[in-house]
Amino acid sequence: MTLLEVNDLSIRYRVDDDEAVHAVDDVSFSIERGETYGLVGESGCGKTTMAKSVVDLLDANGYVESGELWFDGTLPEWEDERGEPRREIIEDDRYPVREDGMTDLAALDETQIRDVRWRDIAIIPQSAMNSLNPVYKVGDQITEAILRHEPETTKAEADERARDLLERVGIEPDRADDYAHQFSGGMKQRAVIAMAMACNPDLLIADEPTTALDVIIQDRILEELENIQEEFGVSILVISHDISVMAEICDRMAVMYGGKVMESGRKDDIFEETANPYTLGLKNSFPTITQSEQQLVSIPGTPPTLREPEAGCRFRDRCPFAVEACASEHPPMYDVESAETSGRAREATDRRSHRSACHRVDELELLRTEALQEDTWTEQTIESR
Amino acid sequence: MATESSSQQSNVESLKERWRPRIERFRRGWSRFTEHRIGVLGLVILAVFTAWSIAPSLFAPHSTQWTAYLGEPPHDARLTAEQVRSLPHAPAFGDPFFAPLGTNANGNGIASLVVYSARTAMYIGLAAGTLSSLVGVPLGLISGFYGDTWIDETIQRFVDIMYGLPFLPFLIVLVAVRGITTTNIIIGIAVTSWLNNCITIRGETLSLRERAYVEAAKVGGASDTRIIFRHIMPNVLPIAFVFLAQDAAGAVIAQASLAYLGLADFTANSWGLMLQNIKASGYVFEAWWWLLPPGIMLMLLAAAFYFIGFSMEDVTNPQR
Amino acid sequence: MTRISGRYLAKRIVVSYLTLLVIMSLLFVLLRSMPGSFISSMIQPGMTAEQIERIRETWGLNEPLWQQYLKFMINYQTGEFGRSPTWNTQVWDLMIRRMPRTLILFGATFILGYIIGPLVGMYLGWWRGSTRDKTIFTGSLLMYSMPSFWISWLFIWVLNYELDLLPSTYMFTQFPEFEWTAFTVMRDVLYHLALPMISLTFIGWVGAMLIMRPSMNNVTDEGYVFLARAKGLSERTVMIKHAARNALIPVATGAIIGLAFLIDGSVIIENVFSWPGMGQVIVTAVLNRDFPVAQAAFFMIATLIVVMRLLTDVVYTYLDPRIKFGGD
Repeated sequence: MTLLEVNDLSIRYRVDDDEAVHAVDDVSFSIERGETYGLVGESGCGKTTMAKSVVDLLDANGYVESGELWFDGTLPEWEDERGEPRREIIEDDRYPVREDGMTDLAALDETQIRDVRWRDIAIIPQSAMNSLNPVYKVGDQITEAILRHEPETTKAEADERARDLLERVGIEPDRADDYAHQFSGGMKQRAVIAMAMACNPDLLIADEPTTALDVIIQDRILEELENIQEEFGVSILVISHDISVMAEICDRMAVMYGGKVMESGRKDDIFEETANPYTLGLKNSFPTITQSEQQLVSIPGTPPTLREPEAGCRFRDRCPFAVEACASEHPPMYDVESAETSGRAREATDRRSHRSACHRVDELELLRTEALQEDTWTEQTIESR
Repeated sequence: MATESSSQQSNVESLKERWRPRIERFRRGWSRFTEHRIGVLGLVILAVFTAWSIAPSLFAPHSTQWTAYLGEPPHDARLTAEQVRSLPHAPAFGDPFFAPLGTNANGNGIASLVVYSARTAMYIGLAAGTLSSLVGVPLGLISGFYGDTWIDETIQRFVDIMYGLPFLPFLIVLVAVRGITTTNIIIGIAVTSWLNNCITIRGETLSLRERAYVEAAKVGGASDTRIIFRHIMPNVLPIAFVFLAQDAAGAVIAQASLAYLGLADFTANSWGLMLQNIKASGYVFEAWWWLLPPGIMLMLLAAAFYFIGFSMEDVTNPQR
Repeated sequence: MTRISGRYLAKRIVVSYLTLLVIMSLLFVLLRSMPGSFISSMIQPGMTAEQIERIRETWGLNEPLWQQYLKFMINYQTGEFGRSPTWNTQVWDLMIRRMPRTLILFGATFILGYIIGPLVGMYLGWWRGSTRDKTIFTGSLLMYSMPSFWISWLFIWVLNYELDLLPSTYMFTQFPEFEWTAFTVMRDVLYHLALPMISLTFIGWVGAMLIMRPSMNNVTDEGYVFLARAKGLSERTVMIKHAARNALIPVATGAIIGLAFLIDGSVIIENVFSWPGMGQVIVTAVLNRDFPVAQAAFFMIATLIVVMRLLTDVVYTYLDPRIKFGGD
């Protein structure tokens, strides 16, 4: 069952002189219930913006320009006893609720989205260690979330639940009475994860869960996330620039560059049958244990600024396989499987299939072989911006 | 001859080279400063007062000796009883004399007095502020650089003690001890206001001395003095300027307060003295033209210093 | 308050006490170096040398300076402040009568100022850079720049002279036409407290705002503010419960400076309104070279400052759970 359906979402940031940065452009993907979905890409590719926009936590100058965020859940005031939106809400055109009961989060206003936050979608921010308020006890910060969304709960019950949650992430329940500075870095991270699960959300957004942590703790945190998923059945949207994180815990993923999705599909497909030059370049820059001698090749050049971007493929300037077609329009998402079997590029109809935005998706064998050679990348002449 | 001029050329060239980054930095800081209208406003006010200080006769309608009905000195007549009763006179624009802000009880023009008094306020503000920085900044640097050693402890104990002394009463004692002159007032104000300077600079120095470039300098064999004054001080100067501005504002107000208490330098015209005079002659609620201008000037000058100080703070510590 | 170590508190008290002793010694030296002494007013022309000598003896001025110093230090331990020639009474009695009055004025202003200041600072810091922020900030700086006695005159002029709404002098009605009960006395005092308090608070609140505003601005960028929003809490809750609570911490440390400022203000204000407190006393005493009173007044104020400083440190520890009173 689809939990979140992102439809042609475009997000902009207002900057001075009436210009806008096209942080996210026409992005579409979907997340199922119970699955772990990853968004991977370099800094500035739009993945964090994408994640924050789901619950409208963009910076003050960010806004959704177009597109929809269909979510399988709705505001508490629109629900019936079963948790589905009521019939009259669905029928009424004024409410952003579809026939199948999904709500368009992008159409909700400030007050409405607050009811969705945490209760249905919780976010674990980057460097979660700074997310704990230093002047309040850790346990109180968890109960605060519970009491906000389930006001009928008594303080005692909420407190009980908070301690229970801490225990589940491996922290002694007594520590709920401690303050953030008394926790170690890894403990803080886990405390934030516990806090995120406080209201039993359907979707967890983990923004760079492993950045700024040492490797051992990184491993623990990822393990923790997997445990949480198993136990609660929650879907996880993982944002990271580290492709190895994707490899470890994601079921499906999307590779982003320059505000666009370059490739998406099942994790195994993307890693083993890579279908996009950018992904190929990305793979080259990460070491693997399996190969004994490896030449790490980084993609030369820098990501675009995205201020009033030009037409054409966003990756064109750094892509060793660019052809004329790449200059005229950014490629749509082609279906990889049909390109491989039939040899022709056809646009993908199923969002969940293996898709790639590349005009040369019919020449994958060639691209894959050449991408393995270092000189393919280093011999390009990159125009500096 | 050719070689001489070319070496002269290169000297000038290298001088320009060395100064270029500093000029560039200054220019950037300046454009950031002018983004804040409040700072520009402060500068404008300061400019006006500076003009009044340098060339008061250009701006004041009369001299400070001018008397209503009698004109400029030498006065060849005396005021009649009726004329005396009419003083302090409300603003008059020609009939019977020209005094745009009226006169005080002695018949002197308020507008002229206000302009001529600007010099005292500017002088006291800037001098006291500078002196306060000259004491506070080095002490703060030394205290911070030698943090947690006996040098630091001693200076901090001293600061603690000074903190226990109430500022204004202490100032009163100092002035009473040494006599009421403008110089003593300046010294008194500086002695009481260097504390905040010192403490903040100390805090900054404490964190700055951990920086990499300080360690690099130490490894390179630089002496302590050199490190403090060539490496740390330039980074601390922006904050020091902010404090200079705040201390200057405080000094202006402090002098006015002293004047109110009767401890003004009677030989110099100052706004504080004007207010003391209106109090002494009992016309506080009768002569608004006498009451308001000096107070407004004091407010504007102190505010100008604050405006500049806060704009500078934003320049050095950009927020958003 | 388990975070406050008793031993450290004791140590701080001892250090504060020693600081006071040093302050007193400094005062002793300073006051004696003022030209003239308080008996100059008592010496009439035409007095014989013996008479002058006798006056000097009564007041202990004929003894060598170090002896006077010793006496002074010892007497002060027991609260023996001597006798005042100007007021012709035991200095201790004078202080006891006057100190509470200053405390009322100063305390009320301090509390009011430190409520308004952080409140305004909170909003300004939250909206920093907006037009609202710029205008209110500029306005408050203008208020901060006004000489206290001048603004007091303006207030008196409007509220007392023209409109006769509030009294402008003293603490009590001089010739009351009502009965002295606890209630009426309190009401009378409040009535007289109004103008001086308004005048002093008018300027004083800005100090607290100037600390809160940048502090609040720094806090809004913190991760926990983002998370508070992400939890679905209202803007108001995020601003007050999460941001402001943290932003208040530097305000507590900065309060000590605000304190000193308010004490100065009190001195002037007491003079303007003839409020019968310490401020009035101290100025007259210094100008009249009345050593006993001047010393005692300084001492009382210094004690007040030192005690307040200790209190603000305690408050600071309470506000910030990361700090243990006594350092870590």
